[in-house]
Amino acid sequence: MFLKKVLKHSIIFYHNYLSPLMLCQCRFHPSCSQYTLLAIEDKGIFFGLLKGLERVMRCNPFSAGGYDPYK
Amino acid sequence: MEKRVILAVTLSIIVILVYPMILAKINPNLASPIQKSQVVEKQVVVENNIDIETKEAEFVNVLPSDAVTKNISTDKYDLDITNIGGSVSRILIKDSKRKSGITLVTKAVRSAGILSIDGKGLLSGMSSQVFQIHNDTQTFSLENNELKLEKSISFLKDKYGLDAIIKITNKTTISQDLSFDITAGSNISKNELYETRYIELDIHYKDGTVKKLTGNKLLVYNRLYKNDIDWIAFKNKYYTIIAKPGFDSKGIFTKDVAGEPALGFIVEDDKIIAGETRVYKINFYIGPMEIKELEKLEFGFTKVLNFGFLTSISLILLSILQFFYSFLHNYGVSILLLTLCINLFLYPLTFKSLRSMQKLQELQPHMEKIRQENKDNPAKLNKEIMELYRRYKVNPMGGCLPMILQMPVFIALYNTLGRSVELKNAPFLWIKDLSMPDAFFPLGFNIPLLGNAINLLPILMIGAMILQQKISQSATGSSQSEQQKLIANIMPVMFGFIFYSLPSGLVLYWLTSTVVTSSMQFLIYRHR
Repeated sequence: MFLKKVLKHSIIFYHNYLSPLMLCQCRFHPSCSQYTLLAIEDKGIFFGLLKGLERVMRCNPFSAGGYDPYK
Repeated sequence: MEKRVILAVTLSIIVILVYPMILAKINPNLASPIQKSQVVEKQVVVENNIDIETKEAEFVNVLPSDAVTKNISTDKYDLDITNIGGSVSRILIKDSKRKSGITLVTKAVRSAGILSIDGKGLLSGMSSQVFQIHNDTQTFSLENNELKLEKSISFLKDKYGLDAIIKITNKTTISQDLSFDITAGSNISKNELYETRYIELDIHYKDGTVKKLTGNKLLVYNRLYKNDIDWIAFKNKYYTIIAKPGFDSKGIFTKDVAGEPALGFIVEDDKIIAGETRVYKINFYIGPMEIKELEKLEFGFTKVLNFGFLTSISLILLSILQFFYSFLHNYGVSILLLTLCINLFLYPLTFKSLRSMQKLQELQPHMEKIRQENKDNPAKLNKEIMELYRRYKVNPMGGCLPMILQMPVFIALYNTLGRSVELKNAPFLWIKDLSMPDAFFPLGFNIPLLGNAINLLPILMIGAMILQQKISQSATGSSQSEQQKLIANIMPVMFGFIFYSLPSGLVLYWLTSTVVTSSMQFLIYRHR
């Protein structure tokens, strides 16, 4: 539970403070970090992160991007 | 919204400021290189060596006045052999590619001298006995009523290698147990700033496992009993002493001799019958950690190379760089070509995202319409815009995959530039050393964060990034929000800060990469 909290807060921290500084921007709405947050909440740390990772992998110039809600 | 950006910038600056302080706290050795030399000057060091019987004035760091040293000079080495203990007390490596020479081992005397032997029974006190140095050969020997001890070294031609042979003859009438330590490395130089953290002993076992000892672990008296040792490497940042025993060593010892680590092989309970001669052979590689040189010895010594957790990528990058270097003879140009290669590899991704950025302009009327309709609902506006992108199969954002793909390459290149001896002192244009900031205009004083010189490359890089932004802004039309614009303006400066003190080779990579991408952008937009 503690780990989950730490993880979620670090993702929120990334979303709020680090991601504006990155050179890349997400092709999706909601963004990959928000998507991962939802996934972790829903499926737990392991599968949630896995699902988030899968989303990040999809987030490349060959995918259409756009509106892609969780589930 | 703007507050967020300002906060992010402040946080980053704090991180940049605080990180060196934390680093200095963790490893105080780094912060005070002067203190180190004071330790070396200390004359006597208390030893808790219980195992070995000899305990005379043994660990004094100066030789008695009757000590004789013989100097041997070959095409690769200049070394001294000392008669007290019969060992190699100084090794200078002739490294014509970088400097005329680097003294790798200095003032290693008595039990710290390389090839010095200390043991029980027959071999007790051998590290302070007087050996006879034979003038015509590289042999030094000692003979008394009980034994004959002969050590000889031979140099390998055109390689940074030497073979050592130690012969022990039992002259008594009974069989004896041979138990002794042979020193294989000590007093390795750490001339460069921050080099202490690179001092390391790697023990490679025959089963492929590797044990690494660093820092204070090298300075305690320690006997690691585990046989099947393939070879050991004692190294600083760029140079190494590798020793491969030709006998069954029972383990490795480390100890502190006058503030410097000394280490070597343990031989225990080797039976030697009356009149028998035992031969112990050690293959040494003593030289720079350069792939081509290490390969010459054909013992698999290239495993000594360690560029951090991405070593395999680093080695690929290094071999590409060396390939270009082999016919261009300049690592700066090699880095330029490497950058082109990586960009070519990522070209499909870049092209795709640039194309869609361009197509976006055609959608401007639709965008305006949606924007008018959803003025009061930003969440819905975002969703609608994303839907629009999807419908027309356009998306201005590159997504993170190209970035993520480049990340490991970037980190690996950073490690390669910082750690590989090949790139040490490699010049390019006004840059003296690609592994250091370019120091275009040296200042006489220190500016906090930025060091004591004006670096030109990071400034050029900021310029290139601003230019790139201008090009992409003009292409997409000013559809950016105020926040995005602010980020866009801060980004290059932030990057400039981060890159300012990094190796100039790395900045060169990023600069070239930026220039290449923006030229591609420019060309694609012109040809619409």
